[in-house]
Amino acid sequence: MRRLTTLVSAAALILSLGGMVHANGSFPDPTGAVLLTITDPDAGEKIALDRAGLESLPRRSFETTTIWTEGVKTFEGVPLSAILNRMGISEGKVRLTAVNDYSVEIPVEEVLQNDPLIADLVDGQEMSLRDKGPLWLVYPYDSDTRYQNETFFARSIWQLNRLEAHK
Amino acid sequence: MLTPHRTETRRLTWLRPALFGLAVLILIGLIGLLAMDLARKLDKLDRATSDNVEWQLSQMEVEYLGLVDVLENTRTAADLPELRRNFDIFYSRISTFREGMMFDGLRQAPGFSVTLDKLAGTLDHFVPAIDGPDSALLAALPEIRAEFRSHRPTIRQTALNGMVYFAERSDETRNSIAATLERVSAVTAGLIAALVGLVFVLWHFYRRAQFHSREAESSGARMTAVVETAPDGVIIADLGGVIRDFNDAAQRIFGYDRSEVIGRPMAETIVPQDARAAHEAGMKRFVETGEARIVGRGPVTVTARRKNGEEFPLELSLSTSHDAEGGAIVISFVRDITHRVAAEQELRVARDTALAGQRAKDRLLTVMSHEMRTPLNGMLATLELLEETGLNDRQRRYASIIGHSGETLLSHVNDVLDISRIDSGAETQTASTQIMDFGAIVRDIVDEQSALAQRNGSRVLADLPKATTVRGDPAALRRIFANLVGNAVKFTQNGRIEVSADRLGSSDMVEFRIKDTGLGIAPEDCARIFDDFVSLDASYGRSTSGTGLGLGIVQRLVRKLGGEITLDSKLGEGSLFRVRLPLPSAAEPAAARVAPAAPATPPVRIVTSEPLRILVVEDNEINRLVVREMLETIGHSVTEAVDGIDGVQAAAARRYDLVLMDISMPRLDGVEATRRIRSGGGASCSAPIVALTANALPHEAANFRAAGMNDTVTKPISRKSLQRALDLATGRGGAPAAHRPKDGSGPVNLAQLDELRGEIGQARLEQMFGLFRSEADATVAWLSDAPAHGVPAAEALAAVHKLAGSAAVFGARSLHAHLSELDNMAKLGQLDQACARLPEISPIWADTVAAYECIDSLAPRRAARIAASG
Repeated sequence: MRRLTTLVSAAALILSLGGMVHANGSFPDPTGAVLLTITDPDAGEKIALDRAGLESLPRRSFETTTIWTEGVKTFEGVPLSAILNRMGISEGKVRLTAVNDYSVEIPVEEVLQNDPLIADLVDGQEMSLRDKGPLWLVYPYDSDTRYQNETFFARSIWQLNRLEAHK
Repeated sequence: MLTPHRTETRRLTWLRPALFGLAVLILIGLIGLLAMDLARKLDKLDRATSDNVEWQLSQMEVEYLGLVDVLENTRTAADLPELRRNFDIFYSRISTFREGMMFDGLRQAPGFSVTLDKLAGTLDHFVPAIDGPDSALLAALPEIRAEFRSHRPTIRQTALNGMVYFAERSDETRNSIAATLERVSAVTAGLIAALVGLVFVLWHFYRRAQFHSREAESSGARMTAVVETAPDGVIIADLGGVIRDFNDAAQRIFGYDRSEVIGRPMAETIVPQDARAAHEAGMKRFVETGEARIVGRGPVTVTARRKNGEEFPLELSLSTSHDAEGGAIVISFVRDITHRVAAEQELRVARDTALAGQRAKDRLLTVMSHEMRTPLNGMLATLELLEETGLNDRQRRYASIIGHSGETLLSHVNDVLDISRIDSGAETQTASTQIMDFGAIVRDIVDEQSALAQRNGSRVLADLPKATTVRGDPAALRRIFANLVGNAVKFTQNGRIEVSADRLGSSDMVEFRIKDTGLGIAPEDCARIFDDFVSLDASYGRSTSGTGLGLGIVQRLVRKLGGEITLDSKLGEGSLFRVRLPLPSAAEPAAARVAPAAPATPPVRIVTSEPLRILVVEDNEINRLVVREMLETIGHSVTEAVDGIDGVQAAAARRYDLVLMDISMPRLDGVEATRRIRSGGGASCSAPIVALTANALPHEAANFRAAGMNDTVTKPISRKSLQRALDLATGRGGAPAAHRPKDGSGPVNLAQLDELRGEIGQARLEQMFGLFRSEADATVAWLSDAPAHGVPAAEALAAVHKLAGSAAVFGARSLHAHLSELDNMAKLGQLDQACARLPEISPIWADTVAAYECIDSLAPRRAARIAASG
């Protein structure tokens, strides 16, 4: 699967080098496998982000344990707020949906307050679908007990692949 | 007002808030602990350590079914991505169950791990196929399908196991929360209880505060009312002396209206001009040092000033306190004592006047009595001289009446003097205790009173204990018994007077009883009989005569001696006086201190003694005359000096054998004159000096001796008293206290005479004694001249024998002894020797006569009269 993903990514890179750039001003057009599909109903457009697209955004990392894994892990990725910023969204709600259709909705306001990370690397490794990849929304649980409750646990959506935001 | 209990209260009021604060602190601490506990619990609840595990379990089943469904419907390669995706999702789910911390507990549930391992094994088994080429995967499909299909019951069971486990976990959690809530509610209940307690405490404090405030309010109101209505003035001032309050009474006292003085200093308003400096100094001292001279010291009297300038005496008490702001204030309580001071002054003056009047009266009485006595003494002494001038019977009778009356008058005057002397305390000061024999005193008095008793047909008897030697005041005792026995004799006709004495047990008290069978006294008179000037039964009083002072004197003396006197009497039956006196028994025999005159030598030889040169220093002309007459009659030569200075000069100029010295004289008194004579070195500086005094008290006698006097002769001057002085001058004296010879010694045997009196009675005794004396005088004179006249010895000695018998009868011991000796010699044939000693009889007789004259019951004047008639 990982190999497949690598291949898809490489193909996407080749395609992007071929000048097939999407006419989206905010995000670069995907050339590899699409990791995240962003829907903005107000703008009436769909944006697909591949790994490169994600890497073009501001990145951040932190260490923490989670209740679903074993041991301390380093999570690296894009803060959800950065995506919302790029989309120009500062209010309303953001809906996140996983491959298995698990879905959560977070008020934008709270996103800005707590700023969860859309992690694409765990301990420097990409995550496969079997390892809750490719994207996992995580909070720095160990940094503050306020993250250690059901609300934040429920929002910690893994196998994330869709994002819908509306003002 | 700072009393100890006040400080205690203060300590209590300090303690209460402290306790309260402590309680509050404890409560706050408790609340803090509870808050922390709650926070911890809430925090625990807040930190959910598990995601929604049920959701995860159901997702496992859903994803399993999703995978199986995809497996069933996969036919071509186009279906494979869907299969791979579902496989990966389920794989991820199982991995999460196997690895996630949140499922640590769940993995412990029975069978769960086994099932998971089995599922994981299956998944891992097919990974190569899933990740392999599509063709291989399509080929493996039936096997994969069958394998996953077979897991359906396992998945179901796993989900159910998980559900059961989580139901249990959920129960645990619920129980834990319930327990926490229980604790929370318990703590809350405690908190509420504590708060209720706090509220109660606060309420209690509030009530107390309210009570105290009401109390303070009402006590303030009460104080205001008290101050305003107080009969005493109340002035409140600050330490600067500025008046803060001035009550109604103060307004009345000072005449100021309150508004005129409040805010003004006391110094300018109510303190007199000349006391302002002292007032301000006092206030300053109090402010600076806290030293208060008046504050808290009780009332003092000061001078204050009214509005109209009048100064008046004011009683002032000060105390200090604090006003509401805590500043010191001085509270003055003042009382106008003008009237009281005036009344006190008036009373003092009245008392002083009364006392002065009383003293003047007493002095008048004393002086009058004294001034009466001096001429009276002169009268009586002159009367004595007159009686020796050969009066006829009628004249003698008249002279006797004058003598009786004069003596009665003298005794009254003496009574009055005694009373005033005892009352002035003179007797107490000199109440001497010396060893004495009360038996002798009582017997003497009984002897003295027997004569009068016999005239009334009564007898006087004495019944005394053996031991009569005691310590006491003999002079006082003599006065007491003389009065009591004298009274009893006076008021008893044809009866009995008994004097008895007993010591009460082994105490110091001796009880004397003077019992008579006389008139008696009515019960209602028994108490007042001891009052001064009380004479019962005027008619009888006339016949018995008396000032009514006798019992008054007795009672005074008894009290002064520390004794008591009681009277028990029945009208018509007689009286019984009991006198109890403290007379401690003395061990010495009576003979040791009542020194009799030298018994071997007859004491008085007036007639035959050599003529003496005598200086009489006396300011009273009558007394001088009397003394001169008496002394010259018996052959002495007399020089007169009219006062002390005159006397000192005379004594210096010439050697006298005897100086008789009056005590009270103008210019120089006798005591001082004696001192000068003794120290002057004049011719008579070593001559015997004898004081002549009316009433010599023991301490005065000591004074006289200290000044150099040899003895004291008490007025009235009589031959008897002069004899003592002469004895002294001729060296035969030396027994001033016992000029009368006692039984067993001396020329006269008193017991013999008493016996005779008992047998024949006083009247007969006197009559017979008169005869005896006449006979003896004549016989002695005849015998003295017998040898010269050639009287035959036998005849003379027969007369001696006869006289010896008479002498024995009348107790003329010395005379009897001498006559018996001559009689015996005659019987032995020594006639010549006996006759040769006949002249010795005359001086012995003279001594004997002198001795007889000292016996009161034989009445010296009577004896003298008898002698004269003889």
